[in-house]
Amino acid sequence: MNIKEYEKGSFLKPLTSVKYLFKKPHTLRYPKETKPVADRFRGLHINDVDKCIGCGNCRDICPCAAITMEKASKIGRPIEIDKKGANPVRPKIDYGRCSFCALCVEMCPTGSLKMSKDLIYTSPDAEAFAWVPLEEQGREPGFIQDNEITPLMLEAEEMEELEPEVRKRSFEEMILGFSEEQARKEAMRCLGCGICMQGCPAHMKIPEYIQAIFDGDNKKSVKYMLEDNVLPGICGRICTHRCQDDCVYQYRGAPIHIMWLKRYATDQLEDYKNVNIEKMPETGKKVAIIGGGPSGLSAAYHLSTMGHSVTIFEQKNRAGGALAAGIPLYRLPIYELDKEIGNIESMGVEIKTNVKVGEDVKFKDLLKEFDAVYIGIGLSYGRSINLKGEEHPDVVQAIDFLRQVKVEGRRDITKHVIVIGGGNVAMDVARTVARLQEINYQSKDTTVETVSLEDWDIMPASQEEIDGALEEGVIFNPAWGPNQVIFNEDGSIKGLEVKKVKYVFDENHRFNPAFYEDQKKIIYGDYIIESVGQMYNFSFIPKELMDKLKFTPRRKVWVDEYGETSIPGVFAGGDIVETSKGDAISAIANGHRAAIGIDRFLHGKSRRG
Amino acid sequence: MMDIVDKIKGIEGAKVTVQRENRVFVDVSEDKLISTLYDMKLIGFHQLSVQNVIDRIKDNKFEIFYVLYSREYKINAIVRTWIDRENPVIKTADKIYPSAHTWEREISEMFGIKVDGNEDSGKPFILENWKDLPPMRKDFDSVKYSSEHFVFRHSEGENE
Repeated sequence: MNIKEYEKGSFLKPLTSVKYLFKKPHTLRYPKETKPVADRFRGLHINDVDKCIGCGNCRDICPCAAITMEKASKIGRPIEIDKKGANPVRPKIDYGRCSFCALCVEMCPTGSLKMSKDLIYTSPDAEAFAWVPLEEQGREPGFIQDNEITPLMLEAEEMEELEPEVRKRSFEEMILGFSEEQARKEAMRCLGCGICMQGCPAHMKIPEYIQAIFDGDNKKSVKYMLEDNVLPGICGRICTHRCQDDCVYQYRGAPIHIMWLKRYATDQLEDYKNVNIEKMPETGKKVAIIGGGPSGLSAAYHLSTMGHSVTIFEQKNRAGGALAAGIPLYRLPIYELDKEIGNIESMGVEIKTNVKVGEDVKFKDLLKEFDAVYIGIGLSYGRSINLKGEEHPDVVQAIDFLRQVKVEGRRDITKHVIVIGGGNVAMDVARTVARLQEINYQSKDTTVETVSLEDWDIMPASQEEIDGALEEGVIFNPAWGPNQVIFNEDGSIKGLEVKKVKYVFDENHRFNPAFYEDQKKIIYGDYIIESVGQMYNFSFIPKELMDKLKFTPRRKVWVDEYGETSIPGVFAGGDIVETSKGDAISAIANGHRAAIGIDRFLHGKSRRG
Repeated sequence: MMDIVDKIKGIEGAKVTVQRENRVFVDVSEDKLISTLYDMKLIGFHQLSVQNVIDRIKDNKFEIFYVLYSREYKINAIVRTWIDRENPVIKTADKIYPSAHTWEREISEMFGIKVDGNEDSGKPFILENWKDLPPMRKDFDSVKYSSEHFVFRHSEGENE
């Protein structure tokens, strides 16, 4: 514009700007107004710290190392720290480093981490740019993860198993195992956060062995397993897999099949000769182990690697304890037992079968002859429920029945069987009966019914066992309690009278069942198997020593943190101690812990000298 | 749709794949790249939407691609070529598509690819005083770079 043009204008010209008073301004009145941003804008983070489990996957994926994990006490608000399957830490993000790529949000297994639409923060202090993002910082969510488009493989590999109609016909192993391709694919899903290790009683090195399976190095994988678990192949079949309950994939998809990956790796090795823990030089110390169950085998293996000479005394004709006698063949084949127990024997452990301590060998002699004694007798006797009429020979204990079928080769069964109990052992019994009935009668006009105090929602058996039993035709009677056995005139069993359960646990969450006495029914059957729990038998210990043995309030053997009982030099583990959760893996963990305790004791480092 | 694909197929040395409706891949060798782009413009692809690079580190190649758009046919055509990762050089396309001038500046900074004929290609674009490996190369270790250049703010929960 030149000056002449300006001079030409009217003196009213400046007033033309008045019209802009009524127009929408082109500027924003910041900070009252902010510019609208895209829906999936990637700004400062938001984290729901109650949902977050502190797994650290966001830290591991961060390409700028901008994320560190902050202690729960320092995040600025109280959180529940002893949550199951969680670490008491939460991510802290350094915005001096963050590149706002949102990989952390994509990876977050719980979906607690989000990004907001806010990108503005000012402070003269450089340290102030690192903080723990919280929901109450009041930012509006922008970028949120999506299960449809995600870098994670949320679905688990399908495991092939025999169809119910096929598997019922024999005791063949029903889970078929992973192929190499499936195993690699499943192993690839693992993020390596290690949250699962807290759930495992033996704290196995799960991320490491899964990584080795992914790398195709099964030997290395089994080597990692044997460090904490001497029976990996068995646990790969029958474990209660608490690790999978903690797997971070559970929040957005299916947990990794850790147990079956373990089975895959061990199945690839014919024996564990080259992967066993290296043996230490001989110490000349002798340890006696009473009971050849998982805890005894675990203690024996680790003690022999420490250089001690170990002898196991097993009262049955085969070591393995509940694994050998209790778990049906369709879940755990004999060859797997032979392979893993054979491996323990190859380490120099002597297993004396058919030796009953207390009868064939005196307990006191063991104390004299050996430098230390480990008791891992387990709960090898069935517990009765004082049912009226249970003295009848056709009322049997689950543990005896399972042993007869698995070890002694019993194949006869009656047509109508009642199983009392709702736990995993009851499921084993019911499914074994279903197989025997199929073999004997082709399931024509046969029934197998279970009776349990617990209703569906609190049934102690695992869901997969219940589903398997239902598929095989087992009839459930949940929330019914056994009252008495009803007999025919000729003395044979006619059925079981049951009454409806009011509640199982009282207001103090104690086991204290109550019944509706007026609601009764009869379940017809001619054979009853009781599967309501097991108990131990300490009759082999002489009375004067028994008095010294301390018990916990829940009638388990008291042991210190190294598995030593109140009698010096006598250690205990397995199901008879309080820390056991009643499964093989916690018995294996107990045995390992006691082995460390025995080694300390033998080197004169015992707590009580 | 099909007549334009036939036209593209007529370009010498072009391997054409129709990936889906309205999206065509045109793979050419390195020496035919500029002439193909020229022919594409003559056919009717007047707009260069994006020019960028993918680091195919496993094949030891850089994939250079030009996303072209034709308003007339409503088709995206992606012209691709592969060059060696060692001493990567391409020829400029800014005489055909002027917007390529800026794209090439970004490419040369982010991937360290020299662009012949574009005098601005070596100049700093958005990075300041960058002395490391070009940051979009896959062998660039971002964690290492961050830890060398920025203060690490340690948290107390790290070892728990």
